[in-house]
Amino acid sequence: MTKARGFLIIISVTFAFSIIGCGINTDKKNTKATIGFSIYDMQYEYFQNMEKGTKQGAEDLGYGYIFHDQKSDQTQMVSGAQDLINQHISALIISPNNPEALGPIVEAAHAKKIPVIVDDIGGGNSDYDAIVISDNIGGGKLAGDYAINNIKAGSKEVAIIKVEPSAIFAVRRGEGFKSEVTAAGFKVVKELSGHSKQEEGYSIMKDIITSNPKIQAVFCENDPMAVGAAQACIDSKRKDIMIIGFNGDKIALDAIKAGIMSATIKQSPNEMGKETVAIADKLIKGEKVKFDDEEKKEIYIAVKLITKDDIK
Amino acid sequence: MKDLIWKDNLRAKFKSNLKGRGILVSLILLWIVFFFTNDNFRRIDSYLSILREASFVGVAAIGMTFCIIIKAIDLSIGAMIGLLAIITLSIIGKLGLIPTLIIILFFGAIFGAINGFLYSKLRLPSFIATLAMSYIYKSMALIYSNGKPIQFREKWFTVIGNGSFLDIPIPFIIFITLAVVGYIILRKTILGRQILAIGNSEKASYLSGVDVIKTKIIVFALVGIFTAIAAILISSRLWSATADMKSGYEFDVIAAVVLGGTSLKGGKGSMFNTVIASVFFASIYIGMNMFHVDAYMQKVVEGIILLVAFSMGGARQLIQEKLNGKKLRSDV
Repeated sequence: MTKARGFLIIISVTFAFSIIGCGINTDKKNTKATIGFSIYDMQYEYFQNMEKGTKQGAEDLGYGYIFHDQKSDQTQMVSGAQDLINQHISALIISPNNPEALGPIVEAAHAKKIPVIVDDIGGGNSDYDAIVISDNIGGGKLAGDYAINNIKAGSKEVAIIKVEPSAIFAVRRGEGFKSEVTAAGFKVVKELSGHSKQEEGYSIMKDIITSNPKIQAVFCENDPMAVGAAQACIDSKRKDIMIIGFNGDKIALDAIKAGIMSATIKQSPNEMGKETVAIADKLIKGEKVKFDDEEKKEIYIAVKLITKDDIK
Repeated sequence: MKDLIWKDNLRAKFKSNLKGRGILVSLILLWIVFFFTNDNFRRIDSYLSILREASFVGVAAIGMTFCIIIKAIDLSIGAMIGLLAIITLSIIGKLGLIPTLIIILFFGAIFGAINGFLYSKLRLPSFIATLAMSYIYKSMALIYSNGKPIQFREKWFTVIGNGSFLDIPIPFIIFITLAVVGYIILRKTILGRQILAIGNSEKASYLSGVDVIKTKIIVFALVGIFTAIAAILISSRLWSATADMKSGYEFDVIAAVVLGGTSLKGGKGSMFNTVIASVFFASIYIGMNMFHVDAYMQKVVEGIILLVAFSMGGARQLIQEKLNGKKLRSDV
């Protein structure tokens, strides 16, 4: 019993010191105002770029910067954001894993007079101060136009692999695509959610090939799912199916270069990150922010169609 | 001579007071280290934050303690939380707090009792039975909610998970109250005696007239009830519920219970230690955030803690067996 207790104590002290060891490098003393950033999940390249942009933006404007990774977990999102708030930040930037759970975060931040800027994903009806998003409907329409221009004959059957329904802005991509292609006489035969995951993109695509063999094009609402879908097409020896993604991740650009995918819509997470800091700066100084949609406090960042011709 | 005996007595007293309280010592030590090494831990806010976060795991851990004492395990509570939270938020607007509470507790008890029935009556291993049920609960939650999050943002409800009373987080007050209830059930009632007896030896308790099947079903129903309360707290904290809001939650809960010294081999457990272990875990999580530990590194630390937690029971046993073994051999 005694030994077991001693063991536990030693373990906990070891933990404590290893934690400190890890923390020392990043724990710089900063007398300047600090911006806290809580990110959806750093295992996706998209968010890695967003983090780079945000960090760069904070450094350029002379702010301190602390960062937290939600690791796709909404409970960690709420508790981690609370931890950021407890660390005396001047503004909170967050790309929420579950926008519906933003409410308590915004409330806690506003209680300490900290403005909250949402980066992408969604605002979940919360009382945030600004939200920066890509022009998603415009991007979906770009993807739709590309499909229409490149498919002249055949069944005109297309499918959409969607992100999780809670990502209300990313869902607009599919809506933009759908409105564009149905207007041109195409038929959307399948709309399934792959929960933003590459492996689910793969399995859904396999199912689509089996149930709708005449399918001509698939629009995926993000790139990891598009790459997964493209792999499914290769495995099923269906290289004729056009795969269009959304994001402009490196994996997708490589796939387009290799001819496995046809196109993607490039977002600029880097630009979005910088923009959120610029807005945070204005809010801290009490200046007025210019919104693209005044009522919903939305600010749009332009997107671009990327095909094989754009990649050298 | 007298002096020596007195000294020995004092030492024995000290030892028996500390006996089985290793996790409390660890927690205090951890907090002392935090206090002296990080500015953020010199403000009460961080500790209150820890207590709040500990409550969300801790409430379910109280129920899980009963379950692990009888050598069973419940892997369905993560899925159950999602389902119960979705039901909570979809009816609370219409029915108000008290009727919702009653309905959700009732559902929790029923779900738990189903697990218990599969485990005790049909003699499925609890691991398999609850894993299978977790798929069913999750699917039910997805079907019921169409895979979409449900939101409820009335202040009188969200204050349960987010509010404070005299600066103490409300979830923590609820957590402590429930821990006391759990302690009373385990130590002061016939049911508690029976649970401990079954954990020690199922056969012996059966022979001495304990209704083993009934008791096991009640234990799983208790797990369900405490999980239901956790579901209400968490959905109030997040203002929302989704089907997969708490996947992996069962392992956090089991880890807290085992770290609290409840043996996976059954028959032994302490509510107090479960409470402290929940706070310990929350301290580690929030500590890592405050020290800005890299997100990937955090997973490593979580892994090590789980390893330690799950090997604790075994290590203790091993040490004891080794000691006993040596003694036996020297006797021969």
